[in-house]
Formats: sequence, C-alpha cells, structure tokens
Amino acid sequence: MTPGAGETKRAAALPPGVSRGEDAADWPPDLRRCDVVVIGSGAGGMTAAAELAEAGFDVVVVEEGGYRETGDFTAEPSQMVSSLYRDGGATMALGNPPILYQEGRTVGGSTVINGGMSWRTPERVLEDWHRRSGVDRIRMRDMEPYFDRVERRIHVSHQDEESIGRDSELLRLGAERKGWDVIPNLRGQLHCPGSNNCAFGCPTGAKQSALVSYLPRALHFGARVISGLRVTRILRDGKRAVGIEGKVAGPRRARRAQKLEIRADLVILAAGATQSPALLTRSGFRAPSRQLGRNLSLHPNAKVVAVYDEDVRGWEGVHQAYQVREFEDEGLLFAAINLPPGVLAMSVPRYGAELGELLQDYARTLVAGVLVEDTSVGRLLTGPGGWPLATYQLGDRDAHQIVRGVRLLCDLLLESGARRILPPFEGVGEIRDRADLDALDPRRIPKSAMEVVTVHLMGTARMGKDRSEAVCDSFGWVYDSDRLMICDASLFPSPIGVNPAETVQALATRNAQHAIETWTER
Amino acid sequence: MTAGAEWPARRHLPARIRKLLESLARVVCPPEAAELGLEPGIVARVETVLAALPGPMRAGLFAGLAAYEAGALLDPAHRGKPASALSPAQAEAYFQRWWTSRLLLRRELAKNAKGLLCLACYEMPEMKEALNYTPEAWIARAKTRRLARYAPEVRAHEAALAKPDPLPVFNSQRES
Ligand SMILES: Cc1cc2nc3c(=O)[nH]c(=O)nc-3n(C[C@H](O)[C@H](O)[C@H](O)COP(=O)(O)OP(=O)(O)OC[C@H]3O[C@@H](n4cnc5c(N)ncnc54)[C@H](O)[C@@H]3O)c2cc1C
Ligand code: SF4
Repeated sequence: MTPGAGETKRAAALPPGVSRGEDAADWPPDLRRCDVVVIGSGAGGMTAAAELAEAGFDVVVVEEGGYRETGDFTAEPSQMVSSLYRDGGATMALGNPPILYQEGRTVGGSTVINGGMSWRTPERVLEDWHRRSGVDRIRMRDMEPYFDRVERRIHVSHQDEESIGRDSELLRLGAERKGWDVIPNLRGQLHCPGSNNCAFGCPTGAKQSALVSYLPRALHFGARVISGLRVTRILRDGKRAVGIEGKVAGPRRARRAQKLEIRADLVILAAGATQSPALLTRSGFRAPSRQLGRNLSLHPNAKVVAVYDEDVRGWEGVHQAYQVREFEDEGLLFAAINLPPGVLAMSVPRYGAELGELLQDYARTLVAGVLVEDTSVGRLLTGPGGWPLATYQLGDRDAHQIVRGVRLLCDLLLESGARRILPPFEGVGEIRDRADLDALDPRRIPKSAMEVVTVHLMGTARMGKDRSEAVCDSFGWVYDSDRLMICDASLFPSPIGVNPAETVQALATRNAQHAIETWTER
Repeated sequence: MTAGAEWPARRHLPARIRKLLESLARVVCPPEAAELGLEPGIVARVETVLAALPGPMRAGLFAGLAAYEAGALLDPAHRGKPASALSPAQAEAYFQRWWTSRLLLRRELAKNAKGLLCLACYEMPEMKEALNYTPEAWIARAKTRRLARYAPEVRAHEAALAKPDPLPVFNSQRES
C-alpha cells in the first residue's frame, strides 16, 4: 500500500540487531556500554562500523533517521523525501544565490538516496592532499587497497546494456557528435535494471547503498544499530570522548522525549559534513586551528531541461549511465538525470497554464546537470539550539563556470536533437538554436538569477598534518581531543570534482584500520 | 523483532492555511488540476511534506502565507477580501505581483508555495496518468526482470557480505 498524503504508515519490521531509539532507552546499563559508538549510519559511519565489528569490537551505531528498507521505497517523491531526507530536503545554504542542499536522514544515510555513482578520488586530488595538507598515507598507491575493498563490497561496476535509457543515450550521442570524451558511469550496483528511482530509495535493492551492503555486514559481525535517536552531545571527560547522549527523534518525540546515554571507549563521528561540526561545537570541542565548520565546499550543480521531438521516457533507464568528462580538468562534469514530473514542476520557474504546457511534453523531456568543482568556500555556523547553519558565497570564478558549463551542456543537447532548452537562470529565455547560446554569457547573468543546488557537502572538519590548519590528523583523529575520530565527508581538505561517496567510504575504511592498529596504545 | 518507526506523522494544517493553499493551487497548478477538482488532494499532500520540515521553517512559511493572505486586504481593488477569497483573475494578478516582486522575501514565498503545490499536483494519480507517466509499472517490470535473470548472482553477493575478510592490521604511530 502506498500511503496517501498525510497518512502515516508503519515502516518495515526491524532486522535483528536494529532497535528503535525509544526501545533502546529501556536497555539495561550493560547494553548501553560498548567499545565503539558510531554517530551516523551513512557512507562513512556504516563502513567504519562494519570494519570494526569484523575486527571483534563491540560496536553501536546511532542514527537519527528511521529504518526503511527496499520494500518501502516508491516513486512518490513527497512521501519519500519526507521520510528519507533531512528537513524534507529543503535546507538552504545562505548566500547569493541561496543554494538548496540535500542530505539523507535514514538508516544508511545519504547512500540510500544517492545516485550510486562510485568513483575513486582523482589522483591529482590525493597528491594535493598529500603535498598541501601533509596528509599521510593518502597517495593513490596507499589508497588503492581501500578503494578495492569498498568496490568489492558495493560491487562497483558498469551498467548492464539493457538498463540504459534514452536520456543517457541522447547525452552520449550529443557528446560523441561534439567529439567530447564521454564515459560509462561506474556505480555501486548489482545488475541495476534501471528503475531510475535512486533519489527516493532503490526499490529493487540493486543499488548497493549502505542499507543493503555495509549494514547487513556490520549486523552479521555483531554490531548493533539504534535508529531514531539523535545524538545531542558527545560526552567528555576532559579532552577524552567517553560516549554520547541522544534524544529519541521522530514523531513520538512530543510524547516521550527520552534521553539515552551510551558509554564507549572510542567515539566515531560520521554525521556528515553539516551535522558533524555542529555536534562537535555543541559538545564543547574546539579545534585549535579554529577551522571547525570552515572550508565548506559543495560542488554547485545546475540543471537544464531539454525537450525533444522523440519519446525520451527518462524514468525508464538508469540514473546517469554516462558522464561527460571532456571538461574534467576545468572542474566540469555533465550527466543526464531524470526528475519525476512533480520535482520538475517544483523546480522550473513557471506556473499555471505555462507550466502545464511544458509538462505536457514530460515524456519527451531530458534533464541534465552540470557539476562544478568549486573554488569558493562556505562556512558551517552553529546556530541557536546547536543547529547547523550553512553559509556559502558563490565566487566569481565558480559562477562563471556554472554559466560556461550550462552553455556547453546546451550545445551538446542541441547537437543530440533538443528542440527547446530551459536554462537554470531567471530572466534568460529558452534556447532553441545555437544563436540563442549567446544569451548564456557569464558577464550578463547575475548570481542572484542562478538556480543552484547541491548534494555533495564536504570539508568542514578537514584533515591535515598541521594542527594549526586542520581539525583532524591524517586518520581523522580530532586534534586536541582523545578517542574521538571523524569518518565522514567533513574530512576532505578540498573538493574532489567527482562523486564523493567512495572517497568517504575508503577514508572510513582506512581510519577504522588505524583505530584497530592503535587500539592498545589508547 | 521490533516494529519499525512510523513515517512522519500527520500534522494537520490550520483551516485558514488549508483554504489559502487550495485557492493558490487554482492559480499555480495547471488548469486541469482545478477542472478535475484536485485541490483538496493536492493540499493533503502538501500537508505531508510540511510535516517533515523543521519547526522554524514551517513557522516561517506559515508566517509568509499569513502575510500573503492579509496583504490582499490592502489593495482597494480587492474590496477588503483576503487572498483566498479573490476572484480567479484577481488571484492570478495578485500572485503574479508576489512572483515578480522586488522584495526577495515575497518572491521566495511565491516560489516556495508554488513549488510545494506543483510537486503535490503532479503526484496526483490523475495528473500522472495524463502525462502517461507510469513509474510503478516500470519499476515492477524492472524488478522482476532483474530477479529472473540474475537471482543466483544476487544471492552470491548477499552471501559474500557475510564472509570474513578482515582488514590487514599493521603497526602504526598516531601523529597527534
Ligand atoms: C540526493 C543525493 C544524491 C547523491 N548522489 C551521489 C552519487 O551518485 N555518488 C556519490 O558518490 N555521492 C552522491 N551523493 C553524496 C554522498 O551520498 C555523500 O557524500 C555521502 O553519503 C556522505 O557520507 P557521510 O558519511 O559524510 O554522510 P551521510 O551518508 O549523509 O550520513 C550521515 C548520517 O548521520 C546521521 N546523523 C546526522 N546527525 C546525527 C545525529 N546528531 N545523531 C545521529 N545521527 C545523525 C544522518 O541522519 C545520516 O544518516 C549524493 C547525495 C545525495 C543527498
Ligand atoms: S536505477 Fe538502478 S540503482 Fe537506481 S533505483 Fe533503479 S534499480 Fe535502483
């Protein structure tokens, strides 16, 4: 049954090893003690938890979101976004333009709603982290075993031919006609049949999100997971982290605002790039470098909507089968992404009859995106009540790159037969032929006219050798604290220009290994 | 086994907000939606989405909607009617003024209200059918095809997830 608007629905029964926060609140004290408590069950947290559980540690993972499983996922965006996304997917980074950003809040974290693209960190980025930030054991030869391991677990592979839809083929065709480099995407998937529902949870179980890969593995090796428990504070004894305090999250909060403490010998923070710095701040940890919350990068993303004369039926075929890499050195990537009609209707700057006219062509519509490797940096402030507040001022270079990327992408789409294209800039009309491309002039489009979104937040607790410049050391240990390690996207010293989940997972594996190796020293 | 957590609970919209949203749906959604009488269903879906928003964001949106409703009273041409009671032509013109306003907050309110209502509108089965948008059927076929062709590999991968493969451990020194 698909719940109608406003209805509530009991989600799946929980697998053994997963408990709800309100049930865990009744656990006896011995169950509320463990070797390692991991905050957050996403790309970083679940990976670290599985590795540590396999190494024999008693691991408890605490996750704010609820537990949903494959059978719960449907093509009903508003229902899915309400239950799988933080803040209903409507959070903004303040600046000019304001940037909508999205993060998962569910067991499995953002991997449950991500596109499954899985790429190694580019070698040039790892070299840069080594040279400029002094990060140890981070060069490609050091990282390869971790990438291999993650790729094995989440089955990183190319798509089966039959799963590729017309939208991706049109993107490839346009790139080939332009003579541009276009490559098949690598995804963490096992025979994904191309249902194109990745952003609302994979309804076939093919996407190897943490929910169907690292979670079952962690549970198999004895980890426990508590869902629906928001960590409010990391408990400390001086500089040493000694556990967490959490509050039962979710709809019952009003009736039973229970608190729960878990004591542990090691605290792993993997709440993601917006929540981790806020949690450290509200727990009283101060980075000597004063860099906590700074250096936010977010791969700004802009989308164009192209209409063809032929049927595209973007929902029939995998999400982003190809990536155009021709401009990778300039920090630009292009891909075809399908948006359901509701999400498309929500995001295009039209309403009423005009919107209806555009959407009538929905089956002939292709949506494509430009991802920019940013040079601007934002900041994560901790607002009233300890809530994170992101600010990000798009720099001139990045704004220029967004317009340039959109122009190149429109050119590609015209080449593959697009009849009309809507660029993501207020006040710029439709692109119907090459002459219209002149309207896409970076000097004439103000930042305030740009519709920019992101799903890649990084860098707010960066690692580095120098404690006066970084928040954590090379293996995620938080400077000026003890027994506190970070294993999420906040570790990145810089943006990476490709999809970040595999980098997060490889770093979490490497950090977990370091924790195991140094356990007795602690 | 413990039962799973509930989906976000229903939090009812105040009647005046519901009434305003229904009137706004007639302006921002394509005309077919009103012809099919979908406004109550659309607003019920918006209610679900709003339930997931954090309190301050929800409160901000409600305050904006209240300002929109009351703002219409200030226009003498409306003869003392709030936004939700305007004639279709007046409602359209009033919304357009907010949509193109110089004030960022007004533009943002118009954009957000339109976004929420249009998202919900195109999730209504009637609207999906009109677009020939049939994701559920496609998903069901895709799922069946995958299992028919690849079940042994899927099972083998699931089994491999439970196989020991511990991380090699070397000695290393902590930097800090
Ligand atoms: C829609 C979308 C599409 C994406 N597509 C791709 C893609 O195709 N490929 C790719 O590589 N990357 C993609 N990404 C990005 C990628 O998924 C993230 O970079 C990655 O998951 C980040 O890992 P993380 O461990 O830092 O955080 P997350 O995976 O977000 O996990 C953090 C978890 O911590 C929990 N948490 C936060 N605060 C608390 C608290 N106080 N108490 C308890 N729990 C808490 C959260 O609820 C969440 O579950 C996408 C992201 C999104 C949102
Ligand atoms: S496209 Fe593939 S990975 Fe994405 S939801 Fe569909 S089956 Fe799952």
